[in-house]
Amino acid sequence: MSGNEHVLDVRDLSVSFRTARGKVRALRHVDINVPRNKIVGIVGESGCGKSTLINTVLRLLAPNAVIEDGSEVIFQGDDVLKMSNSQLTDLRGQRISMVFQDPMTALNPVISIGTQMTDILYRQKIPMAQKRKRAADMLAQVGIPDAVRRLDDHPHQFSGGMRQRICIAMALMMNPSLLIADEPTTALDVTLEAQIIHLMKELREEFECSMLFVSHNLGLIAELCDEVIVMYAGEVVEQGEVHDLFHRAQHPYTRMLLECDPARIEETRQELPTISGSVPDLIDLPKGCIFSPRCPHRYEPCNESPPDHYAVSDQHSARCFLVRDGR
Amino acid sequence: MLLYTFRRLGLAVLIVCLAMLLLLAAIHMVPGDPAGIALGPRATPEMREAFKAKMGLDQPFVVQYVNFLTNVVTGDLGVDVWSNRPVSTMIGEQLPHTIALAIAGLGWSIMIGIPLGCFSAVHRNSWIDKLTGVLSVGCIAIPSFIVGLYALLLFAVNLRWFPAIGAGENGDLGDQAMHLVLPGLAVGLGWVGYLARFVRTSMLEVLGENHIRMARAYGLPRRRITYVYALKLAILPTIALLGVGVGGLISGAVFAEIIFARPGVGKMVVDAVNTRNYPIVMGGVLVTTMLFALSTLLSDLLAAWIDPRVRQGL
Ligand SMILES: Nc1ncnc2c1ncn2[C@@H]1O[C@H](COP(=O)(O)OP(=O)(O)OP(=O)(O)O)[C@@H](O)[C@H]1O
Ligand code: SF4
Ligand SMILES: [Mg+2]
Repeated sequence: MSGNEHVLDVRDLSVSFRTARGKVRALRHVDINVPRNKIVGIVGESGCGKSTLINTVLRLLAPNAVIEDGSEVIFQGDDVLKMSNSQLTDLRGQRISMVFQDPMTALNPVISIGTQMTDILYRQKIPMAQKRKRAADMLAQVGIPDAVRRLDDHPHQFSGGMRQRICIAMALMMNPSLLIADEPTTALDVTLEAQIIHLMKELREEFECSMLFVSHNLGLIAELCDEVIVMYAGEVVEQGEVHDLFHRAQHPYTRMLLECDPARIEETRQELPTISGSVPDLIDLPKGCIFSPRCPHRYEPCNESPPDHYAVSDQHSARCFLVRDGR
Repeated sequence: MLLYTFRRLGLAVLIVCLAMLLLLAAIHMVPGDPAGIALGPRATPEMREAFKAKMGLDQPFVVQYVNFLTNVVTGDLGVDVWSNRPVSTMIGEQLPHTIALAIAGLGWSIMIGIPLGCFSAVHRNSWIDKLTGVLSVGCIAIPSFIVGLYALLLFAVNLRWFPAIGAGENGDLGDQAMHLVLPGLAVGLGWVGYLARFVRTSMLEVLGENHIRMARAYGLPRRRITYVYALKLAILPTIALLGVGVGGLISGAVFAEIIFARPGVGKMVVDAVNTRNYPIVMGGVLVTTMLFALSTLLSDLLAAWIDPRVRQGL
């Protein structure tokens, strides 16, 4: 596949955090891509490195983060990891935009919605009235009634669902090529969640942007995404098209995620099931397969060395010796 | 907002009334008979009684308090024991100098302290941050009269950049401003340190909040994020601190007034205390208290005006 068809190409990305206890190896050799006009979902338990991954893409990592040598994050042909500050400012909000998890804290409480929205357009040399009109149009588009009048309101005057709509509108202000959403509905109740997902589907048609969608919720991923990436403890363990992944899951971890209740795959609401055992310590990693301490199918090679990504089919691969050995 | 302003104003009045109660009680607890001191050792008991009656000191405490309140409301603060001039006139002469000095001190501390705090927060743990940290603590630790003395020696006596003493020619605003620079520095330098530390702390807290990360994710320029998005929130606790701090600033101004031989309420009160000149002491302390109540009132209103959550919740 040529790089041209991918909006985003993450290659061999490793990120660690320096802590008092030692180096937390939050991401190790992650390879993912987002094809043009596709929605790619990322699932995985809490702490598996989903936020670290997307924060790396926008270079918004905590100051104690170290991006290891050899990592590449290619966005539309440019390596984000090599960008200068001014290039990053140019990238953020304009070419890649982001919607965060918690709409209650994502907006500045003392600045009006209109100002926060028009500020994003600071790069465009157009009159203020025109910027405000664009902001109001965007608000109307995400379903905020009476948008023109509400531009001068402040975040606390909106409900949680409304605020997430505003965040989405803000993210789309500059028509970005890639929209990253980090668990955009986790803080909302089921009805609001369904509304927001519906909205995102609509906007996807409208704005033709690619999307990287992070979620705990397998049902949402199944409903919204074209491709899925399953992460475990800082590694990609399985990736493929949504249908393949939900119907022909290979990695024991993915299967355990799904097996808890196969019927619920079709439902919109599904919490990530709890799996016995816990995520390994990211400072002191097991020698073999990262999942081996919790894996019911563990056999001899698993403790020796880490498995590679083995192709299941053209678009589908899993990081498990079972696939290599055809078991 | 209007209702809040009125409620807040009511609170300020209540604070002043309570302060007056304490003031009156304190005067009664201080050892020394005012009549005896005012009239000298050779005064007869009858003269002392007459004096007390004239000053209202023979009345029951409650009556004295009520009289005090009504007098203050009508602007009557009594007369100077020595010169018989109305205290309100005397304070009126001194007050502008005190307010000007407080504003100058505040100006110094705001102009230096707030940007310094922002800078430290944005470049936290850099050598500049560490240096400002040490300097700030230094500023806080050095007493204002030391700062005043050295500033006087260096900038007024040796370098002759600024005038040394007095408040400047009456009516010549430029001259008066020049006379304010050094005393203002002496009064405000400690506050530079306080503000720098305080702003740094609240700034760091705000910079770690989600919406700042979001603003960065939208590619807003760093300066706009720091000085508008973050500072507008981080300044709120600082405004509250300043509101209370002006009280300390006014009492700290006494040293500067003495060192730079400036007129001012603080110096007047200190002189009056030594001679048990009650009306002046009471009037001076009362006006200082009012200034304090006023500054906390203004800071609360300013904070409410900046923060829409407060403003619209009212
Ligand atoms: N600044 C940091 N310093 C040290 N460790 C960190 C830091 N940020 C994240 N980590 C660690 O890195 C790992 C991955 O964290 P990350 O936030 O990416 O997980 P996540 O998949 O987004 O989880 P969640 O679903 O809870 O949001 C976790 O073990 C976390 O404790
Ligand atoms: S490699 Fe082995 S331990 Fe790892 S997931 Fe596959 S079977 Fe389990
Ligand atoms: Mg996360």
